[in-house]
Amino acid sequence: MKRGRAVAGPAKKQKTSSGDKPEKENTKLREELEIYENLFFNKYCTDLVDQGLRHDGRKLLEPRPVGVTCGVLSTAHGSAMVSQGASKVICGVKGMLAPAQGSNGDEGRIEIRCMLSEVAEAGVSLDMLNAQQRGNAIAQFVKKMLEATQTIDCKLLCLKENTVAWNIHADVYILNSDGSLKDTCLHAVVAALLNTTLPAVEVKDDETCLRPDSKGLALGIKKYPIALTMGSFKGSLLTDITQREESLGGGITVVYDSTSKLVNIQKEGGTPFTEEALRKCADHAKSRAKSIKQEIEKGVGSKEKKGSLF
Amino acid sequence: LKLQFLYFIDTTQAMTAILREVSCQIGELSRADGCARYRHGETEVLCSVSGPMVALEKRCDVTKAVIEVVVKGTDETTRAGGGSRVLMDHEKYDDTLAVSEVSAVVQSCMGAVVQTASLPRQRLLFTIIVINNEGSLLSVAVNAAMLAVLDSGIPCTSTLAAAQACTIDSKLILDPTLAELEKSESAAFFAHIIASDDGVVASSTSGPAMTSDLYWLYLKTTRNASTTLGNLFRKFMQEQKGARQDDTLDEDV
Repeated sequence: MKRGRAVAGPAKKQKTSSGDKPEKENTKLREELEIYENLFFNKYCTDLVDQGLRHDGRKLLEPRPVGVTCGVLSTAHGSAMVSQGASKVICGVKGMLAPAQGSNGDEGRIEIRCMLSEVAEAGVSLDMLNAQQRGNAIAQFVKKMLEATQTIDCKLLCLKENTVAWNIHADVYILNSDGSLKDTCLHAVVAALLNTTLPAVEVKDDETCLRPDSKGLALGIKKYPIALTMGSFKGSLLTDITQREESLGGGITVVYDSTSKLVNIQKEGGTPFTEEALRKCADHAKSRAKSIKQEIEKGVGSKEKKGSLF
Repeated sequence: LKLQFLYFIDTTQAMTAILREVSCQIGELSRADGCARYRHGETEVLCSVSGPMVALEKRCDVTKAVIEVVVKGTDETTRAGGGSRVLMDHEKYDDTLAVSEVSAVVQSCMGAVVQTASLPRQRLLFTIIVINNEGSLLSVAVNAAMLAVLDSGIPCTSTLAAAQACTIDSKLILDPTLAELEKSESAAFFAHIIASDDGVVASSTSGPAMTSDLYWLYLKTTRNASTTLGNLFRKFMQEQKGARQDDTLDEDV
């Protein structure tokens, strides 16, 4: 394998009189590239980064396409499926009536649960304890971001003070994991909450009854968090890193709200970042947040048949 | 072997930013390879590290050591009294997420400094026991884990120190207590590499009042606090080394 000739993506077809030979050569080249990539991933990425490319053929600062589909679960009060490249996440939101909470007994509550599917990381043995811990860490991140941007006004969820309020349960299920899971899960929860309409409920003499003929309660979301995960490799910044790129040096997740205000820069281990690198990540994430916001609004606004998943 | 140091550190910026009283006891547990009992004010954590040892097959990584973190609170009884099952479930849910956050942060911070590549197919087990939580638990847990690793002699690429800060009424407070965190408008946690001026290993913020300028101010303030803590760690380890040598001399006699 010659150095510096690592190519990301399929090799170009050469026109010759005999069409079979170049096809076989291309297949062989592709197989060799795959073996080289799997055995020497670090070296492979170093060669590509020098050319301004990444292992999946993208440029260094090129993000993956984001797809948002709402209303995919008919049994939930709100739902959304978000895909970011190969990462795919589904979120269902359900409201349940529970005792009102808060210091004045006038608040509802929101709970986030995140589960990693057993087939999410196929080909890699999945340690269920580790998967549960990772899921809990993502759930904690999503919850903190929703609280930081005050996405849901918990007082709006209260039906009667000191009596009953809505508890919002958002369950996130990771169908396929290919990096930047924090972003994908956060966007799925946000899209599901935007899609949520709680049933109309009447409280009379401490008894609650459903009013199916009345208009349901939307959550009244005015702003929400938007995240972007970036990585650093050999001094270059990479946008929207894949799972394999996360193994190179960890990632940093920058969160802005829908009004372009910085909410959080979450970094957990990996390669240490300088202040200058952090500022570059923050600037890049700010510009990317606008396009993600458009995708989320497009997904929420589009009319999708309830129950259709794909 | 018990060594105890009490320090007041005053790191003054444009506003007063003071760390709480810091104390540390290293090498308390004889069964663990490294151990540190670390305290900031009333927040106290006992961290032990065992390893490197052989990794379990399903959690084995052929390229590097796997870091496992187990976090336990000494008080596991729920605070919700009476028979409210819903409230007890809510507390259990909140505690599970908080413990997961500490576990994830310590795991990632230690993964960044320990030379895991030189220990393939091995595992390092960190056990963190929260003796008392009076605020800034994340930074105390990370610092305790770092001291335990230094005590164990496991090879590290660098040393890190963590600090937390928050703002109340636009005033920056370093190393906040639980009451201060509840009143705060925003809060931040940072872990810095000690020997370098620029080297953020971990960062996390919360609160609705966060802004870009406030973030950079948190970063600078916690960097200064981390440098001070780093000097303390060095002194802790030097004193401990001196005490161990004295013990060895006493045994010979």
